[in-house]
Amino acid sequence: MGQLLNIKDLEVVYQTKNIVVEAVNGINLSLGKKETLGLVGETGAGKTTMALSILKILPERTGKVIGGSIDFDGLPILDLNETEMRAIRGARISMIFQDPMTSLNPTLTVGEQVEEGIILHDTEYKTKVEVKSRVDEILELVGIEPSRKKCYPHEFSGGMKQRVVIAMALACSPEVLIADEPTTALDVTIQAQVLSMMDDLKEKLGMSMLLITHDLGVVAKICDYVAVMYAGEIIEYGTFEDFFINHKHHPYTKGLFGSIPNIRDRSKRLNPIEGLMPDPTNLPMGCKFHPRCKQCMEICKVKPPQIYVNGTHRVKCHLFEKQEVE
Amino acid sequence: MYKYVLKRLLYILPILMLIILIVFSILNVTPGNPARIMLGADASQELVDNLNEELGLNKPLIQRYLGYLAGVFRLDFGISYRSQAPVFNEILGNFPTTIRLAVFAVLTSALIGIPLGVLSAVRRYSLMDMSFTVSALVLASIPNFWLGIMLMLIFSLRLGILPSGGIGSLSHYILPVLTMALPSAAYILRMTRTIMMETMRQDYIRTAKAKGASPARIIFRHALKNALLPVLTSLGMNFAQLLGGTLIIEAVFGLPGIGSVILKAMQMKDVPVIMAATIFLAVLFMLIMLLIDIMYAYIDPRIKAQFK
Repeated sequence: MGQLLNIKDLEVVYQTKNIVVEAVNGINLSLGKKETLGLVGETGAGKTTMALSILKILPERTGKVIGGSIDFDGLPILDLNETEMRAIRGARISMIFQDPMTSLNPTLTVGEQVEEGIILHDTEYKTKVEVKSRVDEILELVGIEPSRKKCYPHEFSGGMKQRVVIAMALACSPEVLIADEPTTALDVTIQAQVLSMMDDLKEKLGMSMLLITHDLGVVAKICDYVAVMYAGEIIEYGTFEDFFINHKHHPYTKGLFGSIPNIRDRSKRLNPIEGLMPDPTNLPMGCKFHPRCKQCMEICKVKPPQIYVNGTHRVKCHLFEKQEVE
Repeated sequence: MYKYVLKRLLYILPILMLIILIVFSILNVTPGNPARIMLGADASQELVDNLNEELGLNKPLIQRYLGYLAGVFRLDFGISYRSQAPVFNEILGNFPTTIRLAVFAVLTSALIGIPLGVLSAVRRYSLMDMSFTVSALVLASIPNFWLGIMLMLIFSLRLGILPSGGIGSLSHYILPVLTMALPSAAYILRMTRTIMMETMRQDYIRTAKAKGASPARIIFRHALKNALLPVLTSLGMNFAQLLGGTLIIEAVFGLPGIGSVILKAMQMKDVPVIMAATIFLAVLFMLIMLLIDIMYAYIDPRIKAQFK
């Protein structure tokens, strides 16, 4: 495949003495050059775990990749050693974390933190002046006055901190940017600003982006492809059109759409998905969504569904077996 | 910043007055009349009464307290009942030994405790970590006078390489300082380990990892500065404990410090000396706490911002 990032049958578990948490259970995903893939799912669906495994920064000791492969531009990520990984982290694949309040080191200035990545991945033996000017350039790019680089994170507002985090991630012009719920911790007005800025920057720098979110609104704004994740599996995958124009969806995706308030709808209540995400230490048999599914059939309880493909649209649900026939 | 320091220095005054009041009252209600102790059990009641009159001990407590306070602000701590010499001179002469002991002990415990604690946290659950934590537990559990005697037995009596008591050269300090520093180092080690492990779980450490920083860089540049704050506080508290602890250590090693002065004064009910020694220790403790707060500001920019 001519894709930049290919994830195949990835399986990740968190292991402690007595419990095994099955966080990611056989995921297949790919991300092409300059594409934006939105990864949607509830809290605990395994989105962040997947992102951390791409950079191989899963929590030491507990987090383990037990199967599958990740291929980045021809490099088998999972077989690389730490030194080789360090050369990729922050330079070719960058990550933006969820909470800008805690993702910045409180004892280092903003400038020092942005500069760090540049110095770590400096292959051109930049002089101090060149590093400084690159810091200024990147701060300007995310809309921060370069004169503020001597400030500490606590002197910035939440939205500004997230800009700093983005600046850090972009400092080395990475090929892939993984954004893990970059706007969740921000208030709505700032969310829109940060999102459109990220979209612009993505275009400007020609990056690919893996955008992790639980907000379908965010996905609708900037994604080319969408993957819906549930209990460590991708249950539906497709292009933007497959999701927002087509109306055939996995029951879970339908539930997600039903959970969005609609101004034109006159009903007084939202239609949330009943129940909770299954316990990842004890996943249900058959289709993992069946205990919460309104269209659950007998087969769903015993046999895990296969993936049904229709053009670019892929759905993992027994319902689609019949629909294909129709 | 200067304003803050000045404010904190001014705070010392009311706290000091309160401390003096407390010590004054406690000594007042303890049994034993100083005049009786000074003159001996055989002295006549008349003589005792006269001396009480002379020392002003028959005046009401509040009057004596105020009179004493007025003296303290002129650095006049009264006359020792025992030696009849001014207390201030006696304390001043013995103070350097105690300070030297405590400072050396704090520095030693920091120099041992912090690096080993970091090492323990970084290699957590390894054999090295376990041996550090277990020996720290043992060291923290044994009473330090016993540790002092054991060190004396080994290094002075068996090996004969270090003096067992008294002062003279720097080598006289080694055993008492070690005796004080080892349990405190054990405490610092455990503290540093715990805090360092918690710091390593923070989001900004993950951010640093995602940037491609090496483990050494993550520890020294990103984690240590953040972890050091709470450790610094406990170092300060340790220092206070060590100052009080010199009482025992000075007795074990026969060192002429403030601890032995207090001990002697207590046996004699030499009130002016006890008072003065307590005040000295209290002021010193407050100054050290201030110093630590100032160091905070240099480590954590968020705290520095509050001082402005």
